[in-house]
Amino acid sequence: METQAVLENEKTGAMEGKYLTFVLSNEEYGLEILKAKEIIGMMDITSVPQTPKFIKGVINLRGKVIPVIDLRLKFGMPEKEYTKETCTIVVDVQGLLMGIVVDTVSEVLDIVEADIEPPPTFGSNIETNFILGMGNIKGKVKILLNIDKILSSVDLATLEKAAA
Amino acid sequence: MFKDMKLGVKLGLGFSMVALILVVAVLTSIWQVGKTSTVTNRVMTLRAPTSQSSLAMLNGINHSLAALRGWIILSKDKFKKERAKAWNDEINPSLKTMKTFAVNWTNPKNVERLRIIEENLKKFNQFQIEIEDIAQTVDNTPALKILFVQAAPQASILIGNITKMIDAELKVSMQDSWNTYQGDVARRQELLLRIKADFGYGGLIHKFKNYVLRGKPKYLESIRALHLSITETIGEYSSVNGLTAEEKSALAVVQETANKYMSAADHVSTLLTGEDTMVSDLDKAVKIDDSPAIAGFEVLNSRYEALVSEKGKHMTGAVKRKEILGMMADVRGTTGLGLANIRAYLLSGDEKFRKLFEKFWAKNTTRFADLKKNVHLLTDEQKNAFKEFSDARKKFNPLPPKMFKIRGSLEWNLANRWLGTKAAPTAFKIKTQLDAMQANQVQLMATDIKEADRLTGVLNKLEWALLFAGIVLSAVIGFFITRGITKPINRIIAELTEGSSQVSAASSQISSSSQSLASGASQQAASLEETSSSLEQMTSMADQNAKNTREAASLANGATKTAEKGLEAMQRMTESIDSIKKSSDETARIIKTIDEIAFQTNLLALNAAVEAARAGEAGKGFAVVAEEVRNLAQRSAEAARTTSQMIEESQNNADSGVKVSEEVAVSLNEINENVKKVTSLVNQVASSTDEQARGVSEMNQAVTQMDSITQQNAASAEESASASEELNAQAGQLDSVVDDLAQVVGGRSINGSNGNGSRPHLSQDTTDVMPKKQHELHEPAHQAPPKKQLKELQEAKTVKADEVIPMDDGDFKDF
Repeated sequence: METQAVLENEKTGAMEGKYLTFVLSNEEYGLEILKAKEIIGMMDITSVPQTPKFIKGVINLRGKVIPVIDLRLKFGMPEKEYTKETCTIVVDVQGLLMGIVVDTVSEVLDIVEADIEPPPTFGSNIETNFILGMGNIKGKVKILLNIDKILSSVDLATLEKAAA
Repeated sequence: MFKDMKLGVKLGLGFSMVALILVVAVLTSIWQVGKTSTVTNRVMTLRAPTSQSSLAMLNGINHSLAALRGWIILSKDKFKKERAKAWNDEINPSLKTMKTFAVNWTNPKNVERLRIIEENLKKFNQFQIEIEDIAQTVDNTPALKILFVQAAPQASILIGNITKMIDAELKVSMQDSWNTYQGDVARRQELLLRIKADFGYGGLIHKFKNYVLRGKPKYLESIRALHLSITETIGEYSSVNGLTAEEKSALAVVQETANKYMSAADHVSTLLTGEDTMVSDLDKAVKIDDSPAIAGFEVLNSRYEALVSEKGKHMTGAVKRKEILGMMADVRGTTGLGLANIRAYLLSGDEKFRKLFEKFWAKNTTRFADLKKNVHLLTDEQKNAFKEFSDARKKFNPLPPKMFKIRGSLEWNLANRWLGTKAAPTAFKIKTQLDAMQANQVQLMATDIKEADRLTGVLNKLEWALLFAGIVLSAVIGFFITRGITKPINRIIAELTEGSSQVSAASSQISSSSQSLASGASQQAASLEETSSSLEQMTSMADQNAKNTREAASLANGATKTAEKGLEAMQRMTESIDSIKKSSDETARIIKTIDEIAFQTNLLALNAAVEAARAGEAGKGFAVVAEEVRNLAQRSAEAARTTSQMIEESQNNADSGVKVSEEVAVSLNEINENVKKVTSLVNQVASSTDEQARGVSEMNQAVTQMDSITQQNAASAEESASASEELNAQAGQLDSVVDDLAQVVGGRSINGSNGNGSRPHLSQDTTDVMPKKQHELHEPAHQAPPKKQLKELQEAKTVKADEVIPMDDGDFKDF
């Protein structure tokens, strides 16, 4: 136990820092600030055929072609109409730039170790490695995401292809 | 037998008898009057005119004598005319008249008288003519004749000659007057001295010599001046009195010499100014001979001396002449005065004039002698005149005594003498005869007048007798004829009266029936009036309805218009609300833009935070800035949200406003609809009202027709009433005519009226008339029919009237 606790502490100790919070289907999520490259408003997405649904397409960001995924669809949430608050966060995933569409971007928070909880376990069947932890700020729980773990390798490959 | 004759015959007979009486009377009068008139005629045409003519003749004689006297005294022609007139207009005509009457005279003595008168008138006229002819002629007064014919001519010769002598004397004195003489002498002296001065030393000749020697122009000027003075003085000298021929020629010579000097001076001047002048030329120029002038001066001087020496002679001569003038003046004066006194004495006969004449004549004789002594001093003219004077005086001298003698005698004025001694006695003789004739005529006239009176008396008695006879006969005849005429006329009168009463009854019946007709018609008219008035009311109400309807229609129109206006306003409101919405939409858009900007700024801030995080330690400050920027962005986002909320609210309000206006529009439309319905209803009402009015007017027309018919009925009833009135009037007239006739015949009226025939008016009950008439007719008139008979007649007539015109009120009801 102690090890686990220490492991957890180490884990949580490693998680403290600045997080970029955003809202997705009335839930607040957080994202490591270092992973986020840029936040942009919604642009025209050029859809790429023969790609999974959650891959919306590609965008042209200052000459660079970046694939865009809809996080809602990835998480299996119902699709929502894009509003003026909908933004695209450009993240760096294992060296690959991609954009994720979120409902709104809130703020940059500096979360301390004390406010982070390790991710909950819902049994061994459900995979929760994409959650870094649960942040607790002013009574509000924000799910801190591990962006690297959201997309599987398959997805990554597809993404690469799409971007090519 | 008298009664059987015709009316005309009766009248004729009666009038002819009256006429016969009249004729007899008139003839008798004429015969008597004729006798009277003969006598009066005699008086008028014989006696009176004769008497008148003798008076006229007497007047004529007196007039002629007066005119003659006037002629003698005043010698105006009008007296001659008057005398002639007296003879022509009075004496001669009256003589002629008397001669004409003399044929009829009854007294032979008067004829003899007339003969004497005629004879003497001839003589009288002759005397008058003689007197008239001589009067005012110079022969009438022999003394005056001598004066005019003999004395006066001589006297005028005397006066003429002495006057001639006096005039001549004055002329001589004037010529030889001492003063004139003195003046002439003095004048000569003065002028001669002046000429001498101008000519001699310091004068013309001296100046000329100086000029020749020295040549100075001032000398030429003085020469010119002296020459002018000399010429002037010579001119004056020529006009002096008593200039002799020698003197005149002397003056001319002097003038000539002066002229020579003047022209020489001029010549010298030209020579002096010329360049080629030689002394010899000058010498020639100045050679002038003075000797003629000097001789002339001598002549003038000697004349002057001669005149001076005559002085003494003139003085003595002048004094003596004055004496002679005095003598001549005395002679003339006394001659004139003497003549005047002769005249005065002859005219007046006053001795003082004779004495004055003798005084003057004595003086005349004395002065005449004086003049005779000085006859040698007279001029030839005067001597001739004096001779004639002496001759005339010799002739004149014996005449005054002769004249005076005649003046003293009785035969001084022949006209007066003859008047007294010849004309007057003859006139007296004539007058005596005329007076005798006059007296005789008066006597005869008296006798004739007495005869005339007697005859008129006889005529008077005769007239009275005839008058009486005539009256009696006329009365008798008149009575019988009148009776014969009036009986039949009275009978006719009675019949006429009956007839008129019948007519009257009938007319009263007609009147009553027409009265009832008229009353029925008037009732009808009254009810028609009521109907008409109620129709009027209906018409007025219908009119009122129509008016109200029109008002309602107009109001509905107004409402429609108002609703339309409301709709319009609604539309405008909607438009404005739309514009509000548009502007708030725009505002929302802008807010959205702001919101977007805020969002983008937020993103930018987040990006900045990311970069700051990436920067690590170095980016901490930047992270703060990014945080602030994000805060700012959030704030603007907040503001934008609030604003958009507000805009939403206002949009909602605008929407609700629009809804409300729509509701309002709906209600307005409803109103419009209702108004349209109302309008249509009102129109319906209007049309029905019109129909109503039409119906009423038709009814009105019908009523009017009925009214007119009723009026016609009433008019006809009136007419028949008036016709019956007329009939009544005619009956009345007939009555009056009958009355007149009765009056003419019987002297009184049968119908009790004063003859204008007025019957009682038919509006009264006709039964009143009947009893009165019956009563009247019962008065006794000697020609009236029996009373009973008349009453029956009247009753019968009353019944007859009703039967003739069977009318009752029942008939009128149907009408």
